[in-house]
Amino acid sequence: MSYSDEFTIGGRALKSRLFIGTGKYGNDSMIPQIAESSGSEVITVALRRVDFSNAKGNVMQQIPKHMQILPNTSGARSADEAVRLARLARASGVGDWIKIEVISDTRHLLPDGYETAKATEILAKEGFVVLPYMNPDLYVARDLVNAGAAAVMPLGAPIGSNRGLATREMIGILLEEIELPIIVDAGIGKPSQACEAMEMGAAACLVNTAIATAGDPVRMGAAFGEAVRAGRNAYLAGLGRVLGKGAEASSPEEGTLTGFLK
Amino acid sequence: MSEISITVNGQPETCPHSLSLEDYLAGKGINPHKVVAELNGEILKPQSFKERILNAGDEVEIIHFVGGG
Repeated sequence: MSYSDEFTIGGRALKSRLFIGTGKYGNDSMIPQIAESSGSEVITVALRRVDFSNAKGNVMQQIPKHMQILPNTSGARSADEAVRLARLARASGVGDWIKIEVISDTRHLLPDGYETAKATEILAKEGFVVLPYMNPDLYVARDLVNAGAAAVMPLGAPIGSNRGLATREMIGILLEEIELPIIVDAGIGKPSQACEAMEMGAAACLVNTAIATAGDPVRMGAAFGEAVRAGRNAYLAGLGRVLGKGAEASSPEEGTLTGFLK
Repeated sequence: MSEISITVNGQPETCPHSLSLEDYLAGKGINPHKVVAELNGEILKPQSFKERILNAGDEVEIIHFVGGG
């Protein structure tokens, strides 16, 4: 059975709650197959200088036309650099969506909340649909709401780590307190972790490394698509209660042949 | 005065005088519709590459999309 459960970001209705990336694929020609197997409708790309001595194929040619392009500002170390990258992305004609990523810490690759909020405010005023990548901190999230973000994208674990929902508690607080869609981004390593984020009430998950570094990325894309749907359905269904202690038989206690339960 | 010095993507270069950005890109084998450019910090749309003539000392950035997360 499938349930209609669209959600809207930046005026666009989305059926799939899995966003995918285009980084780390040995061969970009795999991207259309992963887009199809995962069912994703939103895909991230990065902006870099053209390397004239090593002109590789264009990643954009691999992205199915129906997908929403979500350029990121990776490489930005300040709000100003993120704003510059966002404006360049828009000038290319791919639309108004932008994933703000401001990172100056090269060891842990953690996002700078203050610079991210500054960039979000500037770009939201310019009409961008701003999806900021962030540490799951309640005050940063509130700043991003006030700055005009369309959603917030807290990290589950450091970028590219595949270590899962290390920030589960903090994401839980955002889910309680923040009205905007919460899209768990970074660190998700397994479909079960994406499923858990969705069971908790996340609006969507963004997965790149876990798919790109899988043994069979196309099949892993399918696994993530199913996991995100399962987690979302579980959230909508409402999880069953957890007993603090003891047990409760699932089968009736009355009418047993041996009466051993009595 | 047939050649001028410019900086492209952080690298010093020389190019012919009175060359448009579009012709510069064509000379590099770059499809202008696959890139975005900044000329001295100003973002240029691909439609304007034809009329923008490169001048000595110009700083040009030629940017495109790559895989990323």
